[in-house]
Amino acid sequence: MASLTRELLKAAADEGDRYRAAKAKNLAQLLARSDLRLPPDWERVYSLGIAMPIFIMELIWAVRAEARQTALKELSEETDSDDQVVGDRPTRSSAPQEKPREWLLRHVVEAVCAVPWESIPCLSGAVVVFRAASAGTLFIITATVAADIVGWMS
Amino acid sequence: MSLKSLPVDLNNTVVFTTGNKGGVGKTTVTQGVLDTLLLNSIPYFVAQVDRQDRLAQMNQVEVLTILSDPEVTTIDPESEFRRFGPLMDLIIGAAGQGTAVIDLGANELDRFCAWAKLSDLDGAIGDTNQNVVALVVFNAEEQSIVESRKSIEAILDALSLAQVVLVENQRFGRISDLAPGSDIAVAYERELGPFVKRYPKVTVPAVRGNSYQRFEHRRLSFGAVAVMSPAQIMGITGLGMADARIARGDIAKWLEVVSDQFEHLLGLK
Repeated sequence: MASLTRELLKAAADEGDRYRAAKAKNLAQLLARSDLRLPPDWERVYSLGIAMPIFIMELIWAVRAEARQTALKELSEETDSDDQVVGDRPTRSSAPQEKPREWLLRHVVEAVCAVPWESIPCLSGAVVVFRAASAGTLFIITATVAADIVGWMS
Repeated sequence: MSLKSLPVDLNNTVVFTTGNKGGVGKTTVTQGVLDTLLLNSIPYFVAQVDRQDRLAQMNQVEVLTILSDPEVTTIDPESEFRRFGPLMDLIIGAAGQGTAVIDLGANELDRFCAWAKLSDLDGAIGDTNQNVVALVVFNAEEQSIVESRKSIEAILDALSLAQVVLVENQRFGRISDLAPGSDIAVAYERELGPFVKRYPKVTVPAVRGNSYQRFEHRRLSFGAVAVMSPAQIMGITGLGMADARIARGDIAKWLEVVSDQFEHLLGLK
């Protein structure tokens, strides 16, 4: 081992400073480069590719259900105004006593689950819950990936 | 450098390091003094009174180690004579030969001072015309500040010839960074304010990047690390080549700063 001298001490200190500065510079360059070349998270892109069509399909179904619902309502109103058959039960949506909360619930269920309100009693509860959950999950995935894409672009 | 030099002849000097509180960095400061003496080719003689013998493990020279007994709670003159007897031989033996450096561990100052008075160490040092320097180490902790004030009073009571030097160890923070009204800042003003005006003060910075921690458990002195090759450092620490050079540089830089202050203090510059 070399003996301790002032020159050796200074040389070691200066060398340490040089290496520290070089390391900081390299790290900064590496970070800058990696930030530019960071590849997209392909798993998320694939999941977006799957989620998006399903989500769009769900939306289409919801719009179609809404249209069908409107048509049924119009038909029902026409029937009511002509001659109401005794014993015929009016549809829930066209019931005159529908409260704002029920109206909101009906629209939410129809939009999220993409099924007409009238058909819900025919479906099992599990199916309704499953469709609602899958629609919610797809929405979250889409929102997350969209946020990622915005992040990559900025 | 505004640090005032002490009128000392390092071929005829005794340096005590004290602080009377554990963990303030007495041994670190002592090692800084030893490396400074080594750097300037001043012969030195070392003693450590403590529960541990770090200085003996860190230095290539013979170190007189007086191990503390944590069970002892009272000062018994007979046993103190037995324990500290070799210290007198080391101090007197160093007269005209070099610098005697004595590290007084935590809670050892009272026993040492009792022995110094009983054995008239002051008179013996006066006979050999040795200079006495007392490095009182403290950090930014209230207890350490209070203890260092007590240490100054105790050492001046036992060794009237002692020239006190305050040593602030900044490893865990700097006194100057404290908020003016904080408990520690107030304690510093109250306990050490009068001494700061009267005695020189050395500041020991923290080692950059906490680099010495990698060598501490290996019982390597700062000087020993500074002269090691990067390959040796890589072998000891497991660091890569660049980091080994950085760690060595941090320690070398620390020793440069500390030895520069001690060289001014001890009249080597």
